[in-house]
Amino acid sequence: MSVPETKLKLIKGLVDLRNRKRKLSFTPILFLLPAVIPLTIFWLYPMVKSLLISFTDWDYVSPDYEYLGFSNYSELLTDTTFYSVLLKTLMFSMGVVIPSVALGLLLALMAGGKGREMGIYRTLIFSPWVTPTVAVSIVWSWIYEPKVGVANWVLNWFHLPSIDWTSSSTWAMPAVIIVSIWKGVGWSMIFYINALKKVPVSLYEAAELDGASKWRRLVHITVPMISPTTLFLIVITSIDTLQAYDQIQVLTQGGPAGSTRTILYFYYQTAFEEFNMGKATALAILLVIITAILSFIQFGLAKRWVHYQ
Amino acid sequence: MFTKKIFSFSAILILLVSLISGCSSSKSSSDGKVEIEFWYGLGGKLGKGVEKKIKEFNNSQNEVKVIGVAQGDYDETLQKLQAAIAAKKVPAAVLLKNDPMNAFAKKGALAPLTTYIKEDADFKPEDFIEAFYQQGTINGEQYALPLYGTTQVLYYRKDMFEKAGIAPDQLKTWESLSAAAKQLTKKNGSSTEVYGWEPMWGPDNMIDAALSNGAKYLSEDGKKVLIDSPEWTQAWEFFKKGIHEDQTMAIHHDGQGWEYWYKTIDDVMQGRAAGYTGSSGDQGDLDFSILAAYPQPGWEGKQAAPHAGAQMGAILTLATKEQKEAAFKWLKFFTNAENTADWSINSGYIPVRKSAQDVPSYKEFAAKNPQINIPLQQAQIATPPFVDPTGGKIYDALVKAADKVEIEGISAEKALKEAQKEAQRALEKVQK
Amino acid sequence: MIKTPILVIKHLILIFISIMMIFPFFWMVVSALKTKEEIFHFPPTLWPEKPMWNQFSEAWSMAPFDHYILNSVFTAVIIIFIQVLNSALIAYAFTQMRFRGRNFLFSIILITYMLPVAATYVPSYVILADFNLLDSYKGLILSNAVSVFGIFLFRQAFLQVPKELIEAARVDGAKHWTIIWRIILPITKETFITFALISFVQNYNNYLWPTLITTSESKYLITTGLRQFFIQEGAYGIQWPLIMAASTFAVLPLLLLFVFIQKWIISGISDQGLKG
Repeated sequence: MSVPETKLKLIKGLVDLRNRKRKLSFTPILFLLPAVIPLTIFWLYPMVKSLLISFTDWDYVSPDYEYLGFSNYSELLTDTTFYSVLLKTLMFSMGVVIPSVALGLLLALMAGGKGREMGIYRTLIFSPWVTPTVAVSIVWSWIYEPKVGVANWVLNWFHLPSIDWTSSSTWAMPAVIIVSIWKGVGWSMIFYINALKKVPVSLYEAAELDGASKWRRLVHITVPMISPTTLFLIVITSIDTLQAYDQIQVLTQGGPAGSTRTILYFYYQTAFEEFNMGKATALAILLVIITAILSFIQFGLAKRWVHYQ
Repeated sequence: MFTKKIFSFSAILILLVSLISGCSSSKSSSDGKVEIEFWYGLGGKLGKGVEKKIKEFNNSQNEVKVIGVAQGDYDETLQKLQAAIAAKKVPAAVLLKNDPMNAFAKKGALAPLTTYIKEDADFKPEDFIEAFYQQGTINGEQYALPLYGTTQVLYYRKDMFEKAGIAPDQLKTWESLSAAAKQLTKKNGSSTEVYGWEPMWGPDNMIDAALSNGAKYLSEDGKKVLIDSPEWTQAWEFFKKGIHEDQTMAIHHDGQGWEYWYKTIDDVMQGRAAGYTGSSGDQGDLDFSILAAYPQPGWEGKQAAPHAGAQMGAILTLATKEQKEAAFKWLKFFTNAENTADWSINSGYIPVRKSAQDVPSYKEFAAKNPQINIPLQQAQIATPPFVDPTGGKIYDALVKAADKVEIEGISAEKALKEAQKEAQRALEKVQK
Repeated sequence: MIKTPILVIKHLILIFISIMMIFPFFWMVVSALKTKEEIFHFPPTLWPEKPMWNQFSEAWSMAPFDHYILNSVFTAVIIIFIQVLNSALIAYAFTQMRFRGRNFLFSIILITYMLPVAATYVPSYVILADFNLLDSYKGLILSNAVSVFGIFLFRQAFLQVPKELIEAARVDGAKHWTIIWRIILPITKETFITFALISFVQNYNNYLWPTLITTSESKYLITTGLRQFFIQEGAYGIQWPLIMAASTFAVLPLLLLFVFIQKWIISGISDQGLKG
């Protein structure tokens, strides 16, 4: 939409507003405010503030600051470190999103049924999501121990060579990805189980009457019917993984040799260790832009495959 | 209609009422004492030691009440302090490492202490150990006081050394230490049961070894980063060889906060390693019926020159005048001869005043526990902390290189070359 | 029930996955029962030779865990109540009402979700300080009073409510309140419960932000308390069994909660009023 067109619409809207004044209802505002007030205070205001600081050299500490224009941004965009952390972040994100969504669906199909034992499976599969990262990370670092850890014991059992896991810059990222999938797959499963329930039984019955195989029913009824959930999970998990910090901080502290330093890790370092808040906020804003572009692409592609009832 | 309105309104009301009602109560002590907060990122025995000193201080006078607030680690203190300064609600006093202390001081966040020191007749700044005290001097003003000194020394198991017939003097140079480590390592098939030596994870140990080897961070004119010079590479390659080729050394890494540090200590205490390189502050956690301390080695024909530095106590500019005065009283209390000696006895850290050595309890303790004097000896020959002109980029490059060398076994030359490039770029950026 | 081979395989797979999922948790409890020496024993023992059950009571007595857990549960419950209410209301407005700027508002909300929480820390901290809400329950609750994820989730759920049902109710003259209560709530009941659970877990496990704004021990949440316990008592590596015991205290309430609540989340396929 071009700018004049937008303006025209805006003006038209204002005219409409005046004409329709008596019809304007107060009701939507009542529904919006309870969420909009805290949203403005604790999210919008910080976002606007971050945007403003990103054009300065302020650090929240010094009494005065200077406007730098876009130089924080240009400094980041010409910095090789930025691209390397961006790449690592994207790799991490892809590595977590695809397996945990696919595995989540698989588990939902298997463990979504009735019965006491299914309830037990669901509880066990979901339990990692419930556990605080701080507590469980210690155990994982034992599992990944290169010499005596369970992970390598399993590999050796399958006659595979041992891996150095969090001690190697090649395998540290996969190690963190595995923990993230482990923690997140139960979450996807819950959403899928919920979605599967909503698929009308009548559709299956009709298909069964037509003699469709189980596989065909899955592909042609189940998958399209739960596609909104798939989109939801992909978008949410992508955003969450792009902001990954906790599990990385706990498991590898960004190492070894910076191989697991993601964008948020870079942010913490720039903001709270180098006190370069201007550059850090510029980084946060860039992350928002990157995430928005990715989500936009996901939503765009979704038009082809997401099926709303 | 009616219920719906009530429903929505109540939701808004919950939020608004609680927002407004929150604006009350500010902290003020009932008995007329000035109440100040002291933030510090210490755990274990050190944290308990700080709390003990706070209690003693609060009981020793009735003008000031200090409330200690512990953070998970130094980084958490920094993050919280930054937010607190932005919000203009600061603790009066804080414990900082050298680099952030410099950064905060240059940003005007720390109050100069010079006038307080001048007005106080019995403060005696000349009694402080010169190298530690100077860390807090920036452009002629004193911005922070050293609270305790620290340096890395060797700790070894007396029983294992005796059994192997190794004299402690073999720890005098890195070369002979390496030979001892080889002798002490016990292998069981492919796995190692006892490691000869465990350096502490991170670049610090290797930096110390490089400095002892005559290495420098920067060229004389301060324009070139020298961290890939032969003095550096030789020293770092030594550790790579020990960990990855000879497998006589091991390091613990990752985990929460100080986890790797305690894992290393635990290995030595449990007999899975014959010794390790650790902080003078570890002495509070160690059992010296099993262990003994030794100064860091030099190299054949070269004197040891490891870093020694102090953790600094500072006062915030944004605190009120009353609070600042109170905070100064607290810092003065913490650094007086008796207390710095007592802190040193309990933690093993280095006392910050020369007169601490004359305190009777310290004398008595040192007679029975000679290890307490090892860090003190070392402090006298040590290199003062490096103030990174890039605000931490050079050190960060060394952190990454250390991971490559210690964890991944990449050659020191390659790792340090990459680090030098990164650090040089950062240096040129700030000098532009 | 006839146990066909496929069914057996399915159960075997599920049992295998369940064991993998629960293993680290099991390991945590086992480690809490081991002695300091046994915990480092190689190869590790699957069950301690002599379970040290007293280590749980020892850890329990070393810090006010009951108080920490109570703080966490108390704040989390209030936060859930607020978040469910305001997310559902705004989601209803987004899906069932027409008003100016609807899409614009929703886009803004979506974008705030993309902002890393860390970037909001300092500004939010300053706001809380201005209102004198640092180190208080009110501050903890208010700063978490909105969940962008919740808004997104409820909107998604409400979008999937068949339009015909709502249209029919409107034609019958039903008010908004009636539509929410009689149509949307019963159909999306699971979303309400799921979100309540997720929100509870997130608030219960939230660490960085509560640690940043609380300073006095009496206000600590379990995560901050646990971390302080690691630092002060456990001194990290020194007291592994106690650390594991303390971690178990933190996890247990959540697991119990899920065991009870999961029945409602997945209550069977039959009770849907959707066949129409």
